[in-house]
Amino acid sequence: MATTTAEQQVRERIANGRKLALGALVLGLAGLGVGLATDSKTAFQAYHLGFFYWFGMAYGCLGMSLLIHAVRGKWGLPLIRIFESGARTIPFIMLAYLPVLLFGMYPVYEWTHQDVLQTDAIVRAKSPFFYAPASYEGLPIFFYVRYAIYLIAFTWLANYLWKSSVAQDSAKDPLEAEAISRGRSGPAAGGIVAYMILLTIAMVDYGQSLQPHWFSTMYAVIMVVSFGYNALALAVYMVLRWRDMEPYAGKINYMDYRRDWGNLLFTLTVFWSYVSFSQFLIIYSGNLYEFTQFYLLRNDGGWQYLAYLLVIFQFFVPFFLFLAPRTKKIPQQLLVGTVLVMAIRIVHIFWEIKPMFSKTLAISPFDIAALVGFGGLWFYLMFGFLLQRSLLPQNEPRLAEVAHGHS
Amino acid sequence: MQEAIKTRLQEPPLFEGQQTDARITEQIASIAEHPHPRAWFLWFGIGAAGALMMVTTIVALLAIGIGIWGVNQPVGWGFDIINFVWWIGIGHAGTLISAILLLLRQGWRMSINRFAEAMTIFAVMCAGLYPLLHTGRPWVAYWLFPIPNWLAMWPQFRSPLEWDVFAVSTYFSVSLLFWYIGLIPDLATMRDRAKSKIAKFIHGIFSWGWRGSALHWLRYEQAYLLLAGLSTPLVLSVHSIVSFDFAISIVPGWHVTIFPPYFVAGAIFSGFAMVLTLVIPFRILYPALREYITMKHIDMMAKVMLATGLIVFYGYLCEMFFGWYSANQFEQYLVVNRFTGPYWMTFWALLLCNGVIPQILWSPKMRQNLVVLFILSIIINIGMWFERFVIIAISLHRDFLTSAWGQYVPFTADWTMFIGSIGFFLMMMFLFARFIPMLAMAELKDLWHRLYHGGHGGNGHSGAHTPAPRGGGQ
Repeated sequence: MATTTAEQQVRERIANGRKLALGALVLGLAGLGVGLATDSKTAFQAYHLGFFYWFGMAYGCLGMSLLIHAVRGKWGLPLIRIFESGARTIPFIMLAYLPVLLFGMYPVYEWTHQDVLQTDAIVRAKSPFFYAPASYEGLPIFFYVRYAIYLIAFTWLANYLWKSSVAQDSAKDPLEAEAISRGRSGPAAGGIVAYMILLTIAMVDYGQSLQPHWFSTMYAVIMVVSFGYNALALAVYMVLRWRDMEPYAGKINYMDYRRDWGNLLFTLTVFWSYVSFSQFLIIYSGNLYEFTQFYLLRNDGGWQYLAYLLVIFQFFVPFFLFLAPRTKKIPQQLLVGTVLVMAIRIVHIFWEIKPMFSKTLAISPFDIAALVGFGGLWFYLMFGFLLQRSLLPQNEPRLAEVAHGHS
Repeated sequence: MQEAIKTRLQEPPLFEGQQTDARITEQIASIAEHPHPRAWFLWFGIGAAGALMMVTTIVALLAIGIGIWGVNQPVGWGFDIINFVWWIGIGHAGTLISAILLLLRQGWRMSINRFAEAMTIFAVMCAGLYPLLHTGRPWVAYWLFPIPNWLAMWPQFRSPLEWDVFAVSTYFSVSLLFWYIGLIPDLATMRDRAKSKIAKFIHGIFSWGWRGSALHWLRYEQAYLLLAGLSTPLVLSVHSIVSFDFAISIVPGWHVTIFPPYFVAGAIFSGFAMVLTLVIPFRILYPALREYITMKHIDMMAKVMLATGLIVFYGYLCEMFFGWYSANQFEQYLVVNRFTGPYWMTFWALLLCNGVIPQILWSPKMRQNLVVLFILSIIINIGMWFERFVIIAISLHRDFLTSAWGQYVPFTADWTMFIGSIGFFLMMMFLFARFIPMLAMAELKDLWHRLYHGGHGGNGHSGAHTPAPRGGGQ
């Protein structure tokens, strides 16, 4: 069993990372502060962008934890603490969105504009989704209620998984630990159902509704896949960076894990491309303005270059990279892959969100400040949770099973 | 203490009882070698009668024309395309089990892959008939292929119907190849056991001189893995392309971006339901199968059904919500029409059969109850058929202009063709059980050795060992 002393080296790194994250948070806040004072419209839009990216990371972590517990995958055991810690940041990331909800609705959400609501029949027809039970002249009550539901439901879900794994860590005998571990599988499967349903609605709220005329049933699926993909890349990256240190050394340096992670990243690459391309093909072929407006906006004014980047670095490059057995043999190569995935996620979020605020390609310094600031907050919290517990699950016979298996 | 924990935590085994190489061969091969139970003749007879009915319908169809079906304007796609999609979907379980579960290293696939793959092939045969006949002139169906000709005709590659031709024919060829490659070592076993000269000769031809040398096994494994790699995208692509048949158009209820993954999940859902519909009675008919298709397998299949069923249900919910959220009168009317229109019963039946009732699979007890599972699998088969009815008939019969609305009523020939194809499918399954080893013997032996002897594909003697290792993955 890994002791705290043996983990000292990694823990020091995490503690250092935490300081860095705090620095990033302060920097980001300062940047956003300047933005709010000088150009509050752009700053709030940047704020939304930063929120959306890190919201995705936190929810991706929750989704991956749920998945690992539901299918009881051995491949997830070395990563589970990172996912659990990441998922626990959800309430804080959600609360950090309050400034937009309280002061920044107008620059972010077009459906709050009274002139649009008065003149645009489509937006008005959708208004009950945001304003019910009030009329569209009042407060977006239903929108706020849903925000509260996400906050409570997902916080509860993340805490449930955390508590259950704490119980497993401190179980007195292996039987009890195993019973806890197995007992979690059913609720986790139920959690996935709740997660998908709620996140689908959340993706209408924070994503699709920015362009209120447009809708797509595939959008939430694309986003959920992106979130999980990003979280997985981050966790694999962290674990691989620390692969020579305790408690990971000698436990995760096995081909079995790297092959599984590489294959999972490959699967998610293909799946992301599959759902994204399907959405594009269906909309392109139908050629109806209510659907095509999404791509028309994103295929013009410089945004198309981001789309090209996505095609190349979100599909072709990772496809061949993660397909190659060599990538999974050489840890450095897998590391490169995970960095690529995380970097291209930023491009993806920019391409999805930003064109709704600006018709031409524009990256404001506030966007960077928001991404850095939210990132600082997220890492500060996540590292904090990570330090609270042992870095690998305790009382987990399946972890030992793989560690002592063939390399 | 350690032993007690192990026993307590042990998962249900993938094999019942003690197995040896000889026992596996004897149990499975002898089914195809000995006279069959009376029930076999009964079911084969029922199937053959159905197949006859189908052939009669086809003859009438060719002689008179597709007017003997109920298709009309505006419902130009009726039972033919409903049944096509239904059958193609059923085939998907076989491909998933044979390809994806192989790549995922799931041990539980070994006992059901042969059976499910056979099902895939026969289901795709049934499926292929429908669009072929629906063309109205099946004798010129070769026009669908890009063959240079003096008419200077060229297929319309922008049409998803054309993509279907390639998707389905590729699917059929790869599935058949996969199934056949897997059969070769087993056919050689059958050849070596055959008593009559004719049986020896026929099995000899089809086993390609297999002697089981190391080189043979090497080639076999390579071919098998390659075909698994090829089949994996097919699981996604075939039904995605079937979904494009609808989604590429702009008909309300068809132009839905979530269609591809939702169709694929539905296909796997219905495919596993059909596997259970067949496997549960086959286990009664041939008790030897129970040693290899254990409750663990049934449980795993039920779980896959639950997961894919939830995805399908999610698709329904998305369609309803976004139908309203679209703020588009046609989309909104579609949702209303599904709930309250002339075909409301089919829509409610679909919600009940595919969405509500399968939720009983959350209970581990229900996943172990064969009677419940059998009934449920039939309910899902029916529900998935209704799904295609809802998508096709409800969307087409009232689309945009009220002046273009209509009704769809299937004629007798629709029913005889549909029921007949089920008969054909049944007949083929029973022929398969009669002549071909129903389970992959070679793979089962390999699995037994890997699970209980720690070796990989060793052919050592397997004595009386306690089946201690856990089932499932690896």
